[in-house]
Amino acid sequence: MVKAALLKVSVILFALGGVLPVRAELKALDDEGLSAVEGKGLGLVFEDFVFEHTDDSSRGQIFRIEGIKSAYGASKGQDVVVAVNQLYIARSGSDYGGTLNPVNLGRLKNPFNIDVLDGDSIGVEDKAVLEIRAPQQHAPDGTRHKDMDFDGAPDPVYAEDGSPLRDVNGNIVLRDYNVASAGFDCFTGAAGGGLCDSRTASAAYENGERPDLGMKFSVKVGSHDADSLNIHAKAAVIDGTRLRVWGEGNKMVGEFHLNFYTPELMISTCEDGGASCGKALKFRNFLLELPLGNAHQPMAMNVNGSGNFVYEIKSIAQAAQDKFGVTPTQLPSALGWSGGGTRSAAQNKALWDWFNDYYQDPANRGNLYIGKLEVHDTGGVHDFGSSRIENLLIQYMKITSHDLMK
Amino acid sequence: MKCILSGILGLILAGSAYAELRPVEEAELSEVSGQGGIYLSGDITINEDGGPLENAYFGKCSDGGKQCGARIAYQTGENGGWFVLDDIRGRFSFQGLTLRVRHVDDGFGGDGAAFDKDVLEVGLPDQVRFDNVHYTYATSSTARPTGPGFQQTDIYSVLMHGNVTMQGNLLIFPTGNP
Repeated sequence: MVKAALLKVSVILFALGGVLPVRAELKALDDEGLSAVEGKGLGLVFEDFVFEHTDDSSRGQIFRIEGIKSAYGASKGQDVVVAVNQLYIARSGSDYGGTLNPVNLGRLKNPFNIDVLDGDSIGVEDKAVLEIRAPQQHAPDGTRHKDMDFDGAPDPVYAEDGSPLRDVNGNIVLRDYNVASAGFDCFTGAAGGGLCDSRTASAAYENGERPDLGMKFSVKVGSHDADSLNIHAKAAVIDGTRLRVWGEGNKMVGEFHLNFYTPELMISTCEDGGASCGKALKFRNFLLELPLGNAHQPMAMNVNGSGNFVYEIKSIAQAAQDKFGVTPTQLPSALGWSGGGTRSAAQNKALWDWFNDYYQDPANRGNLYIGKLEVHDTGGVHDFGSSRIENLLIQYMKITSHDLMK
Repeated sequence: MKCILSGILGLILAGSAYAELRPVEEAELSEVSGQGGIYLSGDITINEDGGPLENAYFGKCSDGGKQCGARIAYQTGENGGWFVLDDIRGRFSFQGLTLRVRHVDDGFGGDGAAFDKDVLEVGLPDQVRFDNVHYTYATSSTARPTGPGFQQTDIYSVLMHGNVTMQGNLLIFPTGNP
């Protein structure tokens, strides 16, 4: 036995002796080297998931947001206390957080994912990009007419004056909504009716993958009575949401695309601590597709020297100057504006292609859609119709916080 | 005395069994599979009375003029300011966080059968108990409060106490093509 142990030790020593003379050097990976690394991603799926956190002093439950002070009027300088009465994520059909049943989040074949991407494949040259994303959407393979605004007829395309657009024969031109045969409608969950991949709860699959989520809170300023506010989203879908970050120069930059779809987003006010609720706003078929930053003009979050928060989406003109050395005043000639701004008229074809890609990519455009806005109060339901903001492109944005108390 | 004697006897008898420790072959080892998984209970307390630092800024929690929580500062740009999680303190406890490997080949609205793979399953503990958990989110000009020209804007603080419901399983698995 002792002999065996000795033998083992000597083998290990020999092995170490053999390794040492190699003098293998650990070398720092530069950005270009790292960009070629493509790891397998990590998929995450929540099964039978319920989350709830409450503030209820009678049960010894406290969940409060404090440290905020009122900055205006007679209450200036007084403490603002936000008590989060309920924060929940549960199966759809929760009756605004009243009945919490388990839900699945993410699909096994399309989970939440954490991955390192080769930046070259997404327009960020020679960088490794960390991506955290929700389930992906399907690529469209067809179009369909839909009634998203609850007026009983397929939605038309609207002309500039707000009336439905008509073709040469006087027929109303109907709006084409993109669909994928393998996808599901982002609101109703109808198969083949949209680009989302998460499924609604059904008799055959009672969990579903579209959670109800909401937050009820009361806001108390100083010694004033608390105001109560509730926000609920039914069967919410965030498919296509993603965060990508990478390094640029000496700072961390990235892009955040938020997609949020719900058949009903409800905001209501209630008597504090009671069940009696007054006015409620209901946004039926609510869609938000908000891209913040992209490969052309990444966003940066930072803190400045005075300790204030700075959020910036790089100006597209500045991005062009950094990449091509073309100043904003040189842009008209470089892009051939005098010749109609076509590619053939442009002096700098690479710059023209870069701008063209920036303007043509639908992923850079934001959309906000409300199928129908209803106001519920004691007088009944008031219908404020449908509203739409489409193809919003952020060319530059900078937000800086300021401390009003100083 | 009798006890001691029988103890010694026991030792001698045990010694005479000559049980040999034998190395396990690779082939044998490959047939061993973990069965039970892991069951974890946790009780974590951070700076309940105060941290190890005592200076003009940090001190004991009983000293009202001092910060007694932990502080984490991170920076997203060189030479920029810092995002701060400040005054972190309190106690988290949970029972029944489980870890195991599970084979998924059914359920999930029909996705399971097509998936047919092993996943790492983290069983969430149903209830997580928070006892006076507190933190402040802030932005600051320097990483440490003792840094030159220190300026900080506290954005908000969160106070949590009581039970948080966290039910379900988190399934973790590799994606993409190896």
